[in-house]
Amino acid sequence: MANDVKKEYVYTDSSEVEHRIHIYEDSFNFAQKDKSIHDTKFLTKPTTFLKDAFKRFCKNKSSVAGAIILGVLLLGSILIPFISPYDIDVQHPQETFLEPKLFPTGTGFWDGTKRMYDVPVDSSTLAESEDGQTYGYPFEAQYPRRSVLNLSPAREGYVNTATASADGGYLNLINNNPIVTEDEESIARNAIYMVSPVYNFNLENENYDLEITFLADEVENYYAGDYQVSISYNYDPIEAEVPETPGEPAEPTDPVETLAETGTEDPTIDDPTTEDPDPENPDTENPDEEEEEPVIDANARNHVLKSYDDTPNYVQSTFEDEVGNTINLNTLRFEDILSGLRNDETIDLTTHTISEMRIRIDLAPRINTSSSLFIQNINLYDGELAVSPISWNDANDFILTTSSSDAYWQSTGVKSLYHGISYVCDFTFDTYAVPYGERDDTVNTTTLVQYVENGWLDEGILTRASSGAYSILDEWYYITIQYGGGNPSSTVRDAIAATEHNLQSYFTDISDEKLPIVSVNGVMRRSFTSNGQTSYSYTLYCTVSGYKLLGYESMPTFLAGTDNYGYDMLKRTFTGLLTSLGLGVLIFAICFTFGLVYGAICGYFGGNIDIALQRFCDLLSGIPRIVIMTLCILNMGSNFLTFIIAMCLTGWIGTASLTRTQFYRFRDREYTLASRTLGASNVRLIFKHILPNAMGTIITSAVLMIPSVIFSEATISYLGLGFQDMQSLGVVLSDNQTYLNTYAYLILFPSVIMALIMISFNLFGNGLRDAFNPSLKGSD
Amino acid sequence: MGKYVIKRLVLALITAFLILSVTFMLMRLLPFQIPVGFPVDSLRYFQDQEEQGFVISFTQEMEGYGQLLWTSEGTDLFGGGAEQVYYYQKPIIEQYGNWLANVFTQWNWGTSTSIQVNVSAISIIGNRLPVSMGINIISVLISVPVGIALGIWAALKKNKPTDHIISTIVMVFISVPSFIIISLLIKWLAYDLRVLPFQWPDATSDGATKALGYVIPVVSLCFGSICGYCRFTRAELCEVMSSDYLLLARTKGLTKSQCITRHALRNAMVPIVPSILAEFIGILSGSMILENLYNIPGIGSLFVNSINAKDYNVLMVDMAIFTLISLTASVFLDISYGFIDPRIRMGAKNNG
Repeated sequence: MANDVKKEYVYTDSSEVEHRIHIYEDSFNFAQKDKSIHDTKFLTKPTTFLKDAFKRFCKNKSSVAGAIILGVLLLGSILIPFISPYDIDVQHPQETFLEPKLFPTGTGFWDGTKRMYDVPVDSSTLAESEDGQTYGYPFEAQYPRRSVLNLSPAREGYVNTATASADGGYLNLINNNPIVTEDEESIARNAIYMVSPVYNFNLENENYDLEITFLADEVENYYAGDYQVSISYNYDPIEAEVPETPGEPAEPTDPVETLAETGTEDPTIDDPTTEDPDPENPDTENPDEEEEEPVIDANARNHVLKSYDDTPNYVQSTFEDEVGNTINLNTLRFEDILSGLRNDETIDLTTHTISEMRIRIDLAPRINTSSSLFIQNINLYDGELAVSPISWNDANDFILTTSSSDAYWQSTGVKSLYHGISYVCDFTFDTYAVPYGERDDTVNTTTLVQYVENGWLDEGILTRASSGAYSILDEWYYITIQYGGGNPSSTVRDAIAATEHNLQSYFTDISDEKLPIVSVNGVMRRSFTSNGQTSYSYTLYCTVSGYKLLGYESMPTFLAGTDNYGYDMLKRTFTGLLTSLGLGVLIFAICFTFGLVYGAICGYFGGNIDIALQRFCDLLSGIPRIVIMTLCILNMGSNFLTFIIAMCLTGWIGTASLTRTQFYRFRDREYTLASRTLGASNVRLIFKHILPNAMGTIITSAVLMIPSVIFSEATISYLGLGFQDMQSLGVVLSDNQTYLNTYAYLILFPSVIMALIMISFNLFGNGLRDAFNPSLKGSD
Repeated sequence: MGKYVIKRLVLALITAFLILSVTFMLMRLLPFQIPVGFPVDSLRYFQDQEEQGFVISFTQEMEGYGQLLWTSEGTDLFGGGAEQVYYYQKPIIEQYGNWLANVFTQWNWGTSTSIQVNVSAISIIGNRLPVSMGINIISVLISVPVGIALGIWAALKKNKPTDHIISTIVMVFISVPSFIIISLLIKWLAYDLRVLPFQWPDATSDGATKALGYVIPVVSLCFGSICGYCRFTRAELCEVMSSDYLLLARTKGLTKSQCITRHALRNAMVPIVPSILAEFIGILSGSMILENLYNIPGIGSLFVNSINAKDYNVLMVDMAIFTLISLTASVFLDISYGFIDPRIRMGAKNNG
């Protein structure tokens, strides 16, 4: 019986009685001993975590769209810098500011043209066409004839720039000098006036009537500024008797053009003695003060110089009432004054002749910097008719000669024409026609030799055989010389025509596509004799092809236009994008690796190590990124390496803290514990059990580091601290910032690319996160 | 809680101290900047620097003190008679010690070398701070309510067209860098339509122009933060709306609006309110890009100006301000969590 006992169990029950239980082996049978049990096979296909995530990602349409855009941009940034034929290392001064072009010229959209409005017309080109409209071209130097398309009829318009064809208008003066203080008296003392050059009128034997009109508020925000006009003239007494100066002797006068602030009286406190002097302008409320103190200066060789100082008004409100009506603030009628009609003026033109008059305008700086003074034509009238409109703003006369040199004016400021009358036209400006179109030009021997060397021309065009046979150029020239002017005989004429035809067809028939000469219109030969040797130099008058001259084989088209250096914006932007992306990926790789290791150590080991490492993180993350970047750039210069170092210094912290949390999360899970119990090493636990689970979350948020690096780089470049020697998106954007108003496409194109890359990266990143961690879905 | 607050503050102070120390040393490693202007200004500056203990002067050229910084030689400063002085830089560690002493005893942060020569950096910053603050306050006051309202709206209409439209717009405006938005706003509103000034109106312009000048800066600042608040609010509210206690509240018979106002919003606001408070600290700092593009004389553009003018003393103070603001904001954010939601026990032992 003892042999049959398999196991004996002993236990004591609550009443201290010991029990023994014997279990016999043959009491038990194996159930299903011969059956084999396996897992049932899945009916569906097995899937991995990655495949599952990918499937989820594909369901998110916006993320897929983001990924596709991202892919296209990435591909573009890799390919375009290599396949684009245009050079962005050397500046192309002739090819600047070409508009974006995709479609052929004339299609009206994205075709490299720019619609120009109100461009002044060169008055010499004005002509009436069959339909009765007047047409005129803009100035050739600025807009060559070949670049002008869809020219509108010329119409009368206004221009605000001094051009040779503009007439009339107002002189717009703005004093840019700063005001020292806002205290009126010190302004009067310290203000830097903008002083016009003295303009001399020759009034010999003429009876003139001078009218200067000062206009207020032509444009909103503009007010008549402080101004003084001094008119000085001489008068020679016809009689020997010098007229006495009656009246107001108390006030010391300023005889010559020096302009003291004499007119101190407020114009609103009107001088009751002054009646309206100007019957033609009855609404001139206030004739201001024309302080006329004729003083005879004996030293000035019998010249009496007299000045009229307009009242300086420093307080804006003084003019406020009159700003609304844009009429004369002040009208000086020279004749009236001279004839003594006003203020008991005693100079009588019948007794005095005036041979010379000078006029000068002084403009004080104003508190309101946007104020300006408008002066209408200064017209000299002879009786009723204006004989010679001496318009200060007549382009030929005044502005064009003086506005270029500030030195001529005693102080800097803006002097421009305002509302000058000119014929203007609208047209479509083909920006590509200027550098690349065909144009008439001369080609000299040196260039021809160059062309022969390049293999574009046959040598025969230049070389003369020793036998005395002519080169192709000589042949034509020789015949022309032969007949020597006059009416050539028909034979000669035919010969010339034939050779000319030969010459032209010689160039047109040339198979070489690179030859810039399109056709030859004439030839000139010069001969030089030295040491008994006669050599010839030729100048061809021909039509050349602009793009061939610049070394292109076909007409270039710039999809995104060119910038101020003549760089292709497409290539520049995508080269910049490549740099930015490269920077982003590199920094991502460095920061991700470092942050992962750092966070893993923190999270896995915890305790004091964690606390110490976390304090270090806290310290670093307290520094704003802009401060770190600035310090690095200032200390190490602005280059690729600096950016990497600066951004990596703090860039890893995000990854590290995320890794740390993930490690905390998975460290104490049951499966990790089980593995640890089974004796797994730390390395195995980290790399086999914790990291794979945490990876999805970590990597998806770390991917968003790339757009943030691109963003930071662009921001830094925008602040003027960008790469000095490399292109990047930020550099491209900040370089073109100044053209925001004039050439907006230079900003728009890189901006669109930048916006696209940021949006698509974010969409892509969010989609990745949702795919890897569906529980977070929707919490963007 | 009190212990946690104190701990957090002390830590922030230590962090600020260390960061500023490193910043100071790095700034001192840069080439010494001689002030622009007349020799008299330079002399005044160097005398001041000597007083502060950054440079050392001799009456003759000396060996072993590094590069000669400046000498009054050849400049007739006081009509002759004055002694020629030669200035050399002191060792950086010594300068650091003196700098600490100046800052802690006299609140002297140095003087400007080129922006406003010989004017104390603190007063330059003080002049510019109100401008930055003005713009920021307005934009915070606008963007917080608008952003939160949009977020609530989007969350209530979750996965409906309204939500999709709002979310897409938010997505776009969060992604597009601010300088692009500012550039386009300036181009469109100022250059093309001519309704707004194309740069910050100066002190002499009239009231209407000044008021219009605020539009572009405020709008461009608002875009970003409205989008941020909208996204944040939407995410929080969505999470709360799908929670069990809200379902319980509905089952108990509360109407949907009662549920939202009494339960959902209150809970969703827990993380939002601290971030609003932190943003109010952020109003002290200017937006560099915006101020630079729109010529606003705030402390953000001062940062750029001082880099370009190599005015390192002003730059140092400006950077110190940015650092302090960001530190204060983060401390404030952490602490205010505990005050707003008593359930959150800061500093309690947590295991992940």
